[in-house]
Amino acid sequence: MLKFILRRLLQLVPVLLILSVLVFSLVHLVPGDPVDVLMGEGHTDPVVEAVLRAKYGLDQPIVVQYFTWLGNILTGDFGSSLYTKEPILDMIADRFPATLLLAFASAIVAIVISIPAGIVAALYRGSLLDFGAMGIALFGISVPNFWFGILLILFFSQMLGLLPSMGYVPFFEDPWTATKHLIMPALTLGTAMAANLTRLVRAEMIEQMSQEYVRTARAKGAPERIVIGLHVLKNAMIPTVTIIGLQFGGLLEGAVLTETIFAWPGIGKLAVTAVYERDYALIQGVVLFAALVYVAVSLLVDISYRFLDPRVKLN
Amino acid sequence: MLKHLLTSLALAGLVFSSPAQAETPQDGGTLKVGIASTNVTNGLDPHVLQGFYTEWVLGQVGEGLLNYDINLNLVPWLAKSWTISEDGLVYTFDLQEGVKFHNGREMTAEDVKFSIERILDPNTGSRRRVALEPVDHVEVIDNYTVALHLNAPFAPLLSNLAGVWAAIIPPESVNADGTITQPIGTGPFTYVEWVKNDHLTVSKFADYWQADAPHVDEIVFLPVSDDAARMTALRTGAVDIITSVPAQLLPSLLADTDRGFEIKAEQGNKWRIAIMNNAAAPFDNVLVRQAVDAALDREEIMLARTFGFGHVDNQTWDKNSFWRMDGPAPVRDLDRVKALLTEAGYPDGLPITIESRSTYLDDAQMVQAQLIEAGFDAKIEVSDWAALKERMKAGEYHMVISGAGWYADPDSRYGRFYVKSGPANYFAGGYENAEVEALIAQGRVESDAAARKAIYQKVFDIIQAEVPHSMLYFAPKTLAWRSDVKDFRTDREGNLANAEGGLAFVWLNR
Repeated sequence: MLKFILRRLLQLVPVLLILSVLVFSLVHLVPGDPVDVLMGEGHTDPVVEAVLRAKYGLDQPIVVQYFTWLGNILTGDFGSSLYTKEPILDMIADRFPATLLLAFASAIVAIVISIPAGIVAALYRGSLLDFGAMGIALFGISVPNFWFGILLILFFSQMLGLLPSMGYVPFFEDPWTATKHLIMPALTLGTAMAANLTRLVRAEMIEQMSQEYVRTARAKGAPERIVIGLHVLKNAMIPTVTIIGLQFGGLLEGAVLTETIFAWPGIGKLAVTAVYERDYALIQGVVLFAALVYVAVSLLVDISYRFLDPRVKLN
Repeated sequence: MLKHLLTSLALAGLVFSSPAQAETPQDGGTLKVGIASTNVTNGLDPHVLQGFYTEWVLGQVGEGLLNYDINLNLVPWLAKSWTISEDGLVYTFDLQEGVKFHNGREMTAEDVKFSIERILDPNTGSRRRVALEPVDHVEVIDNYTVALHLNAPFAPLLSNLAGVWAAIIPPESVNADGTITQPIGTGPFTYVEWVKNDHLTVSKFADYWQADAPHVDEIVFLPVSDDAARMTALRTGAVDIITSVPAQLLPSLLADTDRGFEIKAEQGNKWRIAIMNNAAAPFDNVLVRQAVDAALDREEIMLARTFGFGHVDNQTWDKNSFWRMDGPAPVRDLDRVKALLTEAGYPDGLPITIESRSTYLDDAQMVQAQLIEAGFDAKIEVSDWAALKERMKAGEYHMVISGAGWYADPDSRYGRFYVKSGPANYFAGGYENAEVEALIAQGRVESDAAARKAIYQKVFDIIQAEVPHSMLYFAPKTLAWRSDVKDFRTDREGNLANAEGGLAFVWLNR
């Protein structure tokens, strides 16, 4: 296992290098000049603009700019934001706890809803329960996230006055208040994720239930509880875990719309504002970080296969 | 009928609440302000700040030599008085004595010199460097007297020294690399912290130089860009004040006497603009620009976009302003459009592309519909601001719908837009006219206000005839606050750091 993890980490080096080239070129290929944005609307001043371009190295050839950036990163210097002047790693570190908390809570919401719903829908295929679960799932996929979020705010904050409509409180600072702030954003993201997962769990369950090993187990007289709960569910979980992992990885890169509605200070909004501001170093930093997180989550997913399916060898 | 109803509602909005009774302000409490943006500020350096929200927020921390009163007249602030030499080349300022910076040190003439020199230094990267460019050097006469020596008379100097972007700051607030990450000023509130895309907190400055201000212990600025979320935050008390009430909600909110919060909706200074590329076909032809101007029904755009709470005008100077110019309001005349287009060589219509970013897309669609009706073949392209600005500066576009703001001095308004080298010339489509430039140069050095006004009237007449861009309408200025927020007043700009209103004077009745 350790060897497997080490090898995967080594593979990361070329991946990140290629990614750094991609991110850098993409960011610089997008039309728009950071200094123009920095000067603001209705303002130009060739004198100041020239000084700023030189100061941020934007007057250098693009290849020189890339290697300067790469060299700095290798020494742990990701640069600082054009706007806040803060080191980029500090900015990411500031927001990552909020993003992580929201991602975890959303994933829990999604799992708690989708796995039982998917199982029930599969077991009672064609019944009203199945139609009901699938109908709700279809609704969940079709409804835009932000609209559902606004409805939650109107209902829980404005009408009932139960939950705060916006803001983030660090979990370990005040778990109770933090949870109250967390419920609506987590429901918004979690239900959207649950909709897809429910359909997947149902499909996988049905697929597994028609397998030979299920007939064998039943022929041996294994109780239905064991057949479904142990054999079918465990096998149906392999693709499900993959999808949960991928979606969780996606959540860790931020959920811009949900963050915007609930004024949640996550990575997503940071990245999007950085793109609008052409804050090159910040965009590059966030994307590289997101890639690292994604790779880490996929690694965890691969390791989890080992436990779900003993036939999988980690090498 | 609809227009009448909306106008009367708009007027009802002007008398928004019962006149403030003389209540004794209470001290204490935390004031939360919901800003209609994804960021409450763009940075922490007052000299390089951009955007009006940034100005309002950092305006709690930093102050300039002058400020604006509630009617947007210039008033003495950190400078209590000044004299201007006969030749208009030396401005001597008497500073308020005993003004403390947030670090406890007294502000002196040396700090004024440092601050103005910092703005003038291109390394600072101040977008407003050009507004002080004629300053040759700053002379410290004594602790409380400072003189600005100009290399040419410059009538707009005083208004260019007003406000936070020309804040007087202590040298010790600037980092070794020239940046500012812990702003220090003389303002009513001390900077505490800023988390980008999240909150910015300031706390009460006990040694503020003005008597009886500030009242609240702390202000937290929060970005709440989503309209529905912002309204809910106000209703539930998550915030006490919000900027920008969505126009479509105003009629029902104003009619609801039970809403539990105060609303102010009045004439604003932010205008929408249809910028035409004066340097390339087809809009290099003045006839085509005049055709666009005659094709627009501004009243209709304003009604649709602001539900009657905005207004239409042909200039930024309101009816009570000294600088109010004379001139007819543009009217829609489709026959004239047809004649102009035919004369310009486009009898069968003219294909153009209207560009805008998402903020102004609704405006662009209204303009598109009206232009199509008038015989243009208009399509819309949407891009983001950075890409659009690059293309505008390069002159690679037909028409851009955007927004512009208010300027205190006519030189800032006309000189910035209609001089080829002006910082906002790309908002006038790269307009270039030697006669206009000569007039503006004349206006800059003329010290007699009436004579200046006559000069700008000539500029105004030429601009109205040549239409480098079309002024569409003015968006209303809207604010809402919970009823226990007292003595909250702002100027037409909605500035939260105004000399007579603003957050320094607000108190909480809790």
